[in-house]
Amino acid sequence: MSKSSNAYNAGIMQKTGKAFADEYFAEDNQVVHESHEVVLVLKKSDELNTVVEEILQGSHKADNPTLVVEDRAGFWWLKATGKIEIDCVEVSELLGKHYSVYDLLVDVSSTIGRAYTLGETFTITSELMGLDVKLKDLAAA
Amino acid sequence: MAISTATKAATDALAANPAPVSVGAQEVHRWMQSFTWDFDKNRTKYSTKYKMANDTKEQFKLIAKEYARMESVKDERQFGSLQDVLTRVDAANRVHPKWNESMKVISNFLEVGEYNAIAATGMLWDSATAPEQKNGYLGQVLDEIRHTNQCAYINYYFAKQGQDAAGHNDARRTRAIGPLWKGMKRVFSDGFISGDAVECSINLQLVGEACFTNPLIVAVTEWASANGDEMTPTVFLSIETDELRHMANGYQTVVSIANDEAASKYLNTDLNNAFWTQQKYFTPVLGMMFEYGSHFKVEPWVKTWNRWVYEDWGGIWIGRLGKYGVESPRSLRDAKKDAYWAHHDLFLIAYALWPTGFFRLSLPTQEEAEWYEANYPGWYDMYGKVYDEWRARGCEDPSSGFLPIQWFIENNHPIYIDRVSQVPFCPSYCKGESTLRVLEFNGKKHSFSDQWGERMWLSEPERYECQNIFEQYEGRELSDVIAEGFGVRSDGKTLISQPHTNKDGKLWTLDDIKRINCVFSDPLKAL
Amino acid sequence: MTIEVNGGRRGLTDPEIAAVIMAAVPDKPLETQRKMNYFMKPRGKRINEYEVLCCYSQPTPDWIPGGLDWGDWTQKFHGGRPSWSNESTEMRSSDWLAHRDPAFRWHALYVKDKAEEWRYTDRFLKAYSADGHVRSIDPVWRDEVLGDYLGAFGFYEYGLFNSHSSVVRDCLGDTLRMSSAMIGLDKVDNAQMIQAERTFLSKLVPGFPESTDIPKQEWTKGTIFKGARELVQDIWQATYDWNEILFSGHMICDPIFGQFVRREFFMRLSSYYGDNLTPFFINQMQLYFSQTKGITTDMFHTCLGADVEFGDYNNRLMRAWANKWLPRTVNALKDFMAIYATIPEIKGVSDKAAIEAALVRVFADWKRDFADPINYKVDTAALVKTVLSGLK
Repeated sequence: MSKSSNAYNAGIMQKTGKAFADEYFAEDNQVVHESHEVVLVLKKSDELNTVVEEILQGSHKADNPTLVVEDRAGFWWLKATGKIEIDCVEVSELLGKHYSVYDLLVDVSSTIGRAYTLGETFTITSELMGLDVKLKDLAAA
Repeated sequence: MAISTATKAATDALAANPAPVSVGAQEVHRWMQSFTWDFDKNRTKYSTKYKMANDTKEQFKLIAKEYARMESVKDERQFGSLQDVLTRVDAANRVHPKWNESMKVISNFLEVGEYNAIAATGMLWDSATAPEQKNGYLGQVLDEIRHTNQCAYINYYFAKQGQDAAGHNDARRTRAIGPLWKGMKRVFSDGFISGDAVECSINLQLVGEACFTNPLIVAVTEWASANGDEMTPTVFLSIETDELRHMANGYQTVVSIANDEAASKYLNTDLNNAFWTQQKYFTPVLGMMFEYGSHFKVEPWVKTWNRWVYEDWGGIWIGRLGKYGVESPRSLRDAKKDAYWAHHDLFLIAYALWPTGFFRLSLPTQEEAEWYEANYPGWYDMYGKVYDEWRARGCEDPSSGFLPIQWFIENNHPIYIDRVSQVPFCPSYCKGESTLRVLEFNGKKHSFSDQWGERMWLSEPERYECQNIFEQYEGRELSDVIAEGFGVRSDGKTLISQPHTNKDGKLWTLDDIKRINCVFSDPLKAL
Repeated sequence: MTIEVNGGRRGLTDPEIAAVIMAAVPDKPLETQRKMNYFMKPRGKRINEYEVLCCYSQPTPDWIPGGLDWGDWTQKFHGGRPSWSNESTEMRSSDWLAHRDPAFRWHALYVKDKAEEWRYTDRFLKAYSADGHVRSIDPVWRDEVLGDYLGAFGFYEYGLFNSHSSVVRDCLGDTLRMSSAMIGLDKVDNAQMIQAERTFLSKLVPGFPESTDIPKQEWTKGTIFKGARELVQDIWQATYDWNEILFSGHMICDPIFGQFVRREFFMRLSSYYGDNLTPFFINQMQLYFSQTKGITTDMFHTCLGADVEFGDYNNRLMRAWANKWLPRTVNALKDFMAIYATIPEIKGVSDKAAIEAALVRVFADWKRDFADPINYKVDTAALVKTVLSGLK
């Protein structure tokens, strides 16, 4: 089990019974606390297993040391600080078949954070897209 | 460029480079924002107190045809799995019976939410001014049709192939009998479609979808898998692949009003009302379905809630918007209390009223009781001992003459319906955030369970006057109500609902209920 | 074994969990009625999959005819207006859930068709560009008609698309709502296809403007689409009755104005001007038109016009609506006649006689398919004459 603060069962989640209740009902936990993490739920599939195992936890593992990936039966649960980015041109090369960003979205099950596409790249970020950062269109040819 | 020059240039270009060319979705999408035009009558038919900006963007840049292609690939995968391998391995008959029953409710009630969201996003499509935003809502309209069909497909599949079709096969007709239905309509139906358009968006997208679909549609799949159900993960995880665009729509709704003065005046109240409205039903009902509707447990519901609702939705969505004036919902403290206890309170009532359901319920076993006590210290003294008493009085046996609702009457624990949320509550026997408040309006008494719903009522009582099941059924005998609502199986006498899922247990009939002579009464009349 | 399992363990494949589950599963199914929605009346001999997945998904109370629920709405609009109400339309029905898409398309079938069209569009455009067909298009037709007027027509489709939003919100039945959303999506698809064609041309023809600026100028300020623009604006934003929106858009405006512009102008003339690109897109629009026609004639003729209790009243109302919307549609078409002055005339193709023949075809089709079924008396020759008076 991951010891990262981004792990599925990090912090209070490791506690049970009264210890959990004490922290859960603690005064400090009666309001929300701003978080710069993002969560991604990827439905398990042939392609997404490759994305998770060979790209996010493989060739690009060093890009974001805060990324945690956990197996939740039907889906991969990912949490990272800042952002997670997937370049579908790279995925396409790895899979050996055409694979667009919309093919990726076929199996992207949930997002907590601001997710968007631009060209063949999928991004989920803690940035406030449209408020702090402008959302871009595909550049004209 | 002059016309003749352009033609020559095209010819020259072709000669130099005859490579095939096509057009991509995002190349078309980048012109979407210019598709509209100004004219005098161009205003929404659904008023909102907010002013939506006309330059709001759509985060995924889809056009109609690429949307269809993407969705079609999703469908090939899920329906291929269902019709092929899952049928071949007889997967529907390898699901724990308790979970088979839960899916009667979860899938059908989610279908209602999805169905109403078609209309809700039709309203938002109308009220948005930016074409990209309209396009995002349109995509959602189609998604919600998809989800309605998908949820139906789960019930259709379980009915056709599973171990107990009753309830799966006719939920759309029998669901209106019991105490969970009207609350579901408040949160999942009318709450999405009737009101200020932006208020509805906050209910549907910013809270309902961005917050509660994660436990309802994602986390539920882990519970399903643990209990042998691979149909639900196949369909629900595919549903959720559309929800991320809906969450983006909800976020863009906030972006579109962020610079509007009205936002600073109204947004936090609307957000708090939406959060309370949604949690008031989802928190207890989902917790009940997960924990009491399963044999194998994944984790305590309160942990699921703490992760998806409090830490991630609260921190990543609401917390991040703090700099734009969005505050932590004022009802959060009460919601957290509900997340710990309200599903236990609700199951006590749901089990007591089991004959009005369209599903079978089961009392907690000894090992489940130990699990509850370990995770919710104090559970046994409040709930476990009551279940032991009910079991000892033969509540599962049709010949016992005992319905658990009698226990509430004998012990002077009246069950009320909260007028605003339509959720039943027993103020004298509960640990969640419920206390009895009674107000009179239009010559009628109205009960409320909490300050947040009461405030909504006091502001706008005309929005929440819907009668409840006790008023509707008052004076009616229980078996008559069940028969009228088609709550029986195809033999015409055995109830769809049952108080157990034991495969060797006897099944209750209308006659068993009639012998008890249980007559509905409105508890408000006794006050 | 413990009842708490996690970390991805599955009851279907984990032998220990599976053994517990299988011991609890009944030896035989508890219920013999295994058809979902078995209680409903099907349109055909048996309940089909579309009817199972769509019908009665709408949770309306029984005082909205066809509904299965009881009681009031649990939340209403500010002031107390109901979520859905019979007063949202002048039409009357004994069963608002009776409509069926004649093609029985639920979502999966609908997107499958469109996905195939998109995939084929991509392949077609590649072949078209590699073949160099673009060289054969008449430059005036390409730059003025396709660049400006086809672009402007995209706004017509986009406006009609938007007219479906309040229908999707307000209509009173599940199959009605789903059909309305689908025919709405087809309209924005048409607008996007027009822009896709223009973007495609800009890739092949240096200097061809991809921007929507000139088409929008033509649509909002020009005279050729003036009547159409005013008509679309009123269908979209000035009409509140959801049945009237569908009726005016799909039973009057589009079968006359839309059909003429798409079928008789762009599609029929394009090949004469060396353009075999536009028909590829227009053919898809025409497929959507024919599917939409199946849907809306089921709504208005098969269901409302033939309603046992309210049929006579509904047909009378439809005739009143036709009286209201037909003259405006004819006027839109009359304005559109000015477009012929912008293209080189081809005898027998774009001269007055050919235009008149095209108008006769459109009005005859409309009379047969839309006017006669509601017993609406119309002098199509007079309508043709009025339209022709717009020729410059």
